[in-house]
Amino acid sequence: MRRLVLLYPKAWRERYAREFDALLADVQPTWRTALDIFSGAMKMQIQSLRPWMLVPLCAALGIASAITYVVANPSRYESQALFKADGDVDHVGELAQEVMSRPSLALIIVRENLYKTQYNRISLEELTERMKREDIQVRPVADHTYAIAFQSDDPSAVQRTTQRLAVALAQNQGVQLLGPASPAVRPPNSYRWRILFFGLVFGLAAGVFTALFTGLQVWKLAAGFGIAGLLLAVIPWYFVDDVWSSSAVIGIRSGNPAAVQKTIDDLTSLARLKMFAKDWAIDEPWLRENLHIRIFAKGQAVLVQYRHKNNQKAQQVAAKFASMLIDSTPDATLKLLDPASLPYAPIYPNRAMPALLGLLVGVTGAIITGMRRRPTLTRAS
Amino acid sequence: MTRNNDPALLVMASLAEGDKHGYAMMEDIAAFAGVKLGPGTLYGAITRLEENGWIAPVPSDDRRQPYTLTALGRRLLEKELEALQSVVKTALTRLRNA
Repeated sequence: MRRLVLLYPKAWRERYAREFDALLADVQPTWRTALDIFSGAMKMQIQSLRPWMLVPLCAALGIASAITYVVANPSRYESQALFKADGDVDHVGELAQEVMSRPSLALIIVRENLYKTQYNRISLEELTERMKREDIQVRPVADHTYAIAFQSDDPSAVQRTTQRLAVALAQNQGVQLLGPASPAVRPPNSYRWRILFFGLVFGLAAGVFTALFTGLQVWKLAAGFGIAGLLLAVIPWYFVDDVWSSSAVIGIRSGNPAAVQKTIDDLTSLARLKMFAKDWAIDEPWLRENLHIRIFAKGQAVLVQYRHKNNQKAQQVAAKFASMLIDSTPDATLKLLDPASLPYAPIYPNRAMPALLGLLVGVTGAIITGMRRRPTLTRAS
Repeated sequence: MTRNNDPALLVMASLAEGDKHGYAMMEDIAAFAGVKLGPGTLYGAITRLEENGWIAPVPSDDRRQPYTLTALGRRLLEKELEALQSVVKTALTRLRNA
């Protein structure tokens, strides 16, 4: 128990260790006494820190907590496969329900060894229900074009499972797979950064508030300005809409690129764009500004790129233009090389940068002011 | 400043009787207030009181360091106890008249 004295700050030990040790020799050693000494040491450590040191310390604790949370919760991955299907959305829904029947999903779970951690705790019936309800999604992408997607924590199993589901769907009449299941990616990628960011901000705020109660008036002022700087830098960016980008790549297998360019010009003419914007309920100037179709790779491929405030809409519009380009160019053979992707992270705005700058300004201000603080008995001067 | 339930007030109240070292303070506080202060809590209070100049160590050859109330500490304790006495008196009067 007497070794717990080592937990106290050095400056404190130099002054009190001898008499404290004499006291410990007199008291009954119980776990309650040990806890009291430990708690006293921690309080003394906090009091002995310069206030500015509490800020990075608490920020580090916040980040450590966030990292622990992130590590404890495995990444999720998603793979999707695109398919064309005759009939309306309801018909595709019925086909998907057949593919997602309990026996077929149970077979996939067993073969792909999915839900390893829950397998022994939850019944297979419940797992299939959960897989169907939470992890598999069938969504429209363009006219008669749909995506079937699956999410889980094992990237290779995710891709294989998506492929199994897609192949099962393609066995129905009128369903044609447009490509193999995409490699598994992390959706939405930014959530981990958000957790880390909030861990940092929370830790920083905790540090500043703890420092407020241990520091001097001048420090309070600096901390106040630090927080204000941080909030001013961060808050406005949370009112800016996310912008998502989706792109499709089309290969020009044969024919004249000039014929393809003619189709592109036609599709992107003001009159056509006005019509599309009306049909798809998009602001026309936005569509004109954010749709980019260009020939690249020395005339061998076409890139269709579209940016929107909604990720699914971004994918739908890019897929529609890609499909129209293929269908409207009779003088060239075009083949879809890479279907329009579903963006998982917005390309704009970059909120991390102003947040980091705000933090930097706040912390720097706090450090400079904190260093001017007078030394006290519990703090080494 | 101390609060009525603060270990610092208990330490000062104990030293009001005369100089004492840590263990003697713990025993005294347990006897007159029924509060068992742990060593960590006691020395947290002693550190704070000494920093503020309300108590001071008394020169001693013993490893057990005795402390004494300073004049400033005595004045503060009197003020605190008067305030506490006023609260106790008012509360008791109100209880009796209720």
